[in-house]
Amino acid sequence: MSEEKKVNSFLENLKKKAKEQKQYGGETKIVEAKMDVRDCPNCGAGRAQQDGLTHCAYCGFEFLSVKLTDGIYVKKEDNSQ
Amino acid sequence: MGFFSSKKEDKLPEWYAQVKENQERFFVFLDKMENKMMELCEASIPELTELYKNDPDIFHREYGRLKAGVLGQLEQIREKVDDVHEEKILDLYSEINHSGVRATHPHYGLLNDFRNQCGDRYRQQFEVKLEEWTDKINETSAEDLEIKYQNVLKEYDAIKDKFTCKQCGSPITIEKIFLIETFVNCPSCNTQNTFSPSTQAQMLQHFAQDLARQRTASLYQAIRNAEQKERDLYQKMHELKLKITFEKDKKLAAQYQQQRDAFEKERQEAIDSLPVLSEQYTRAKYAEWIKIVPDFKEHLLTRMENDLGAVSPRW
Repeated sequence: MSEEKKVNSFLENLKKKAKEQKQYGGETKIVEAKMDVRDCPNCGAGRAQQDGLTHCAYCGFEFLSVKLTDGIYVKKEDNSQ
Repeated sequence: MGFFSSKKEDKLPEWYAQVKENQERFFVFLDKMENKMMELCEASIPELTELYKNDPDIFHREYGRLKAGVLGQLEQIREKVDDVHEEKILDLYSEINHSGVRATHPHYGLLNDFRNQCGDRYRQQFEVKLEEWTDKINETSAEDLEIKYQNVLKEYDAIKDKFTCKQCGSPITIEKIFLIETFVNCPSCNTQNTFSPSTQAQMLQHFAQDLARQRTASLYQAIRNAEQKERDLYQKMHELKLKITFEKDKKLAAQYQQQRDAFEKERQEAIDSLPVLSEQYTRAKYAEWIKIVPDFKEHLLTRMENDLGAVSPRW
C-alpha cells in the first residue's frame, strides 16, 4: 500500500471512531432563553423572594433539600426561615 | 613520516564504519519520519478544519477526538524516533566511549562529531518540524472569539425586555447576562421566576478565558520573545567562550571577552524583564476576563493572585 493510501485509510478509520464514540455526558441541546415559574405542587401557592427558595411559605413543602450557601447568583439569605 | 608520528592516529578506527553507517541510516530514517508526519498532517488539517466548523456539538467533542487521534499519532512518531536515537546513536556512542575512546583519545573527535551531528539533526530539524506541525493541528480550531462574544451581546440586547412574569404577566427586565439558570424576582407580584439563559449565553463562561487570552496575546508573545532572546544570547556567549578558550592571540581573546560581557549584560536584562512582563500579562488577562464575566470577579481575583505567585507564567 502506498504511503498516501495508508494515511487516508488511517484517517478514515480515525474519523469513523471519532464519530461513533458515545458522547461523554450525552448529547447537548441548543436552547433559547426562557422564563418559567414553579408553584408549590402541594398547595399551589406561588414562590416569593421574601419567603425564601427552599420551602413553600404556606404549607412548608420542600422545594430544595439542601441548605443554600453563598454562590454567584443564589445567596445564603435565600434559605426559607 | 616523522619518528614520533603514529599511523594509528591517521588511520580511521575500526568502529568508524559502523558509526558512519548508523549516522547515514539515522538521517534516512528521520527523512522518512518527517515525510510521514507531513503526509499525515497535510491530510488531517483540512478534515479537522471542516469538522470544527460543521460539528453541531457545542463542545466540539467529535473534533476533539479526531484531533487527539492525530496528535497521538505524532507523539508515536516522536517516541519511535527517540527510541531509535537512543538505541542506534547514544548506545553506540557509549559502547565505543567505554571501550576506551575517551576525551583525550586521538579519535574522540570523530566519535563526538557522530553524536553531535545526529543529536543536532534530531533536535534542530525533526523536533522543530514536529512542533510546527503540532501547532498547525492545534490551530485548526482557531476562531475569532470576539465575533462569538458580540453574538452573545447582541442576543442579550434582543431578549432582555422580552420576558414577562409567569404569575402576573408584568414585564421583567433581565438585568445582565446570566451564565446559568437563576431566580428572577417579579417587581410587581414578587414571584420568583426561573430564568434559563440560552445555550449561547451559557457558553460564555467556557470561552471567556480564551477570549481574554486572544485580547492579550501580544503581551504573552513579549514574554516568549524575552525567553527566546535569553536563549539566543546564551548560545552566542557559549560560542564565544569556546573561541576564547582556543584563541592564542590575546588581543583577539580580549575582544571576544568584551563581546561576551556585552551579551551577558543584555541577557541579564532579558532575565530581569521576565517577571515584569509576566505580571503585566497576568494582570491584563484577568482584567479582560473579569470584563467579560464580571460575575466571576471575586473568584478570578483569587485565581489571579495564585497565578502571580507561580514560578513560570501561566498561559
